[in-house]
Amino acid sequence: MNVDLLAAELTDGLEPPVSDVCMGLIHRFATIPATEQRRMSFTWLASLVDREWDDAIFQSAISAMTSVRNHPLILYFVMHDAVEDRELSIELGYVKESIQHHIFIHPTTGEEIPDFERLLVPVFRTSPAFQRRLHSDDA
Amino acid sequence: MPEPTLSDYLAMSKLTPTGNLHFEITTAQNNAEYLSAVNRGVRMALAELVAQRRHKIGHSEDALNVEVVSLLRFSGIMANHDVKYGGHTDISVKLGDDFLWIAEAKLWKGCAWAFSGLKQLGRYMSGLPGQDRGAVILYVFKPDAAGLLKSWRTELAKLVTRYVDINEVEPLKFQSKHIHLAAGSTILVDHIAVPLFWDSASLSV
Repeated sequence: MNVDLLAAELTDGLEPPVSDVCMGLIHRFATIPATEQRRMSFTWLASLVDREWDDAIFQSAISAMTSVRNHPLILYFVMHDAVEDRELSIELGYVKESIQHHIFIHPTTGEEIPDFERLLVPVFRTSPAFQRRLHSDDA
Repeated sequence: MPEPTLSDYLAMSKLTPTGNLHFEITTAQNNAEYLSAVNRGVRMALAELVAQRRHKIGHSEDALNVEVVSLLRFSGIMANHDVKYGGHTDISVKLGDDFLWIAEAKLWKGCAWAFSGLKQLGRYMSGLPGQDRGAVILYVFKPDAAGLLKSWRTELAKLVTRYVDINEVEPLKFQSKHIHLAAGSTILVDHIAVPLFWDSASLSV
């Protein structure tokens, strides 16, 4: 699908400067390999559109892009697993429950992890539906 | 630069009401969570109108609606004015797979006018899951918005036969539950009074 059309559709219901940031991100996604869109940190995404990660406009754009119908972005979390020396992916729902109950159980060892909020890193991936539309031949 | 952690993200979200709203929208995963975020966003947008009320004198219903939509959009909430869902809706927010929240807004011109707004809203809402919550927003340019809203609450109970429940939430907001004519489901409507009266010559209390 034409990236301009897709960006226009996904930002209908927004206005500048938030829509500009969303459009900027969508255009950058069109030029970055899909494999690099599986783990995008706040700072990396912000750097794509020359923003700071904690900038209110950038955060508004992220909110929009995770909540719009056919949303391009999916939030999840990663943490370093010291035992296996690899990065673990943890879905948002699991983390939300942990925040709510103030307890985080390691998903593979079953151990309670204290101070988990400092160990979990929020990251994003583009949704499969967005990738399909971005690379489809539809006008 | 190190990647921000959940701890950093939570800390940022707690710094400002807008940060809190961003966190709520970005982490929302179901219609109940979308509704909570939209309610928060609408509350913040209407509070901003009230804060600027001395500059809103003489504004039309449409001008105020456009401003509310603009404030919601600035927060990253996909909002629209005048989109057709069974009729031209004043404010609509479409999120996720099937969430749709609609508000019908009226300048306060008495209970009959508010009732026309509620009837319009009933026509626009589908009553489907995720589309069964809406609002009647009343822009009040007269004194005592809470008193006027109370009069509307009393009158509503007499006017509507298909309501299930009417509850005061706070002085400037009450909720009514109705049976949706087409869907047969229960819809919940927030009735929100927005106090926009401004008279620099009078005492504010």
